[in-house]
Amino acid sequence: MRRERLSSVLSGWLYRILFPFLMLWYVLVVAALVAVVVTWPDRPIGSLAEVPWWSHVIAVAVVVVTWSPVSAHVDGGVHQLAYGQRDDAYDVAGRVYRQLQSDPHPDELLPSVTTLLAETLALPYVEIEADGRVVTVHGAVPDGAAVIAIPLRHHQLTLGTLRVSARRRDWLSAADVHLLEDLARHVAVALHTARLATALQSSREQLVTAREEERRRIRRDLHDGLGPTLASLGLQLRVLQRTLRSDPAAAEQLAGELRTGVRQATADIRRLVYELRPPMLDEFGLADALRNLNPTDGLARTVTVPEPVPPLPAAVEVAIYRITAEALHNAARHAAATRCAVELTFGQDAVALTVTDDGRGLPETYLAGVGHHSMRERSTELGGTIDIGPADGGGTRVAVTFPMRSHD
Amino acid sequence: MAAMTRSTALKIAAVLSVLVALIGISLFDLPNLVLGADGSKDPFAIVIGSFASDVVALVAAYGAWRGQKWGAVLLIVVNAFWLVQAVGSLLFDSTLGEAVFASVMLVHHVVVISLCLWRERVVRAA
Repeated sequence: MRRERLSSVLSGWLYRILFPFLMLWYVLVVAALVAVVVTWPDRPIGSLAEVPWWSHVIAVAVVVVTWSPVSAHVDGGVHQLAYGQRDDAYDVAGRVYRQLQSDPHPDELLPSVTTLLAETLALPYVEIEADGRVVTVHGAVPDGAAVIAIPLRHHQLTLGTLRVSARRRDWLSAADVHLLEDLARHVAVALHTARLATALQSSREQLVTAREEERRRIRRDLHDGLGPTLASLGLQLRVLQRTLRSDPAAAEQLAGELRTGVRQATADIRRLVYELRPPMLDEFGLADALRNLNPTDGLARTVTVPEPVPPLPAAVEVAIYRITAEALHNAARHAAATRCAVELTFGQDAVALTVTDDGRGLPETYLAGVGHHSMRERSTELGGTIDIGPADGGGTRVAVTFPMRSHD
Repeated sequence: MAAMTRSTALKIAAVLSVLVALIGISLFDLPNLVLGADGSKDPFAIVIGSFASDVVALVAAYGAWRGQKWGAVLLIVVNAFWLVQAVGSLLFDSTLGEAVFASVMLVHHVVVISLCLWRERVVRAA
């Protein structure tokens, strides 16, 4: 930073010295040229004393008349020479790259880059906009200065905009803009990386949160459901033990109630297990589990699954199973469908599930409900995509794709 | 006017200055330096000064060719000095040839200074 400050100070000194020097020189040269013209018939002259006094009057008049345009031109040129010229673009670029590498924290990355650009390129105004909002700004636009916008692009994706303005009375040169465009590409990569880091952190937090919520739900189910049921069964068993000999009829009735209680506890355990992972997936495999889904909903269905089914990550199996169940449920309940086709195909890097029904399709004023949101969540949380829309021959088509490489 | 980049303008200024410096060294400085202080037809201080300014111009031209700020500034200073020489020649030299040469040099120095102060207009980014 000391080097940039020194450079800035030197630029200021250069501007303050060179402009008056050149204007003083201009006055002297005009005076001399006028003297040359007025003494031309008598040239060469022996000394400056031979120049008539009115020659200087003419020179003053010429200087007064031409002062404004000449001084404006010289001022602009000296200003750009002093402040606008970058002796070494690679040096500027190198500093920005080093800054991008040394300051990886997403919150500090963009402010530090704007400050660095403003200081190294001597720009009065640098702004970075991302996601439609100004993320960081350095300085202010001078009155009447042009602002140029350079898009921050990464892989055809526009992540934001870099806006800069030149100094007053100055323009950004083509070299300046090319340098800024080059730097903008690297800033875009850094921005993209920062976003990915933020998304990864958010994803980790979601995973931890989901795991904790799942644990809490299981704990609640065990504590509030199965626990009291088993405690009640224990008490009833004690009563049964006491009444078994003294009152066999009451004991028999109590044994019946106990059997109902045990059945209830077993059902609770089954439900708990099913919510963790559908048992059919382990008992029959994915293909047969899909064929046996909701056998009582009245839908005629065809299930097309290649055999043998390649091994899939457990999370993908569960997602396919639950999305299929939801799609079949929607077809039977909301679309009044009579037939449904479930197809599972395996590509090299992805597995695709398609559920097509012959129902009345999605209404024009369709709003995604809880079921559709659930399907979408299940696909996106595994990096997949989902498309819910009209089928070719009427009805509704749900198409889901899961990447397989990321689950290796 | 605005189509030319500052880098090109500095390169042209450098080439022009090198030409003039080489002409000055070969036609004026070296012959007078060879003759020495006693034999030189011009005041030897002027010969030394002219030679020094020509060497500085060559160094400045190198810097300007490389696009360096110091090169452009040095070229401006040297050409401003030469400008005074050219005007002096117009005033005090006697022959027509000298007057024509001084006039050409005067235009040259003004052009070089203008090229060193060349301004580029803003290019709208994509």
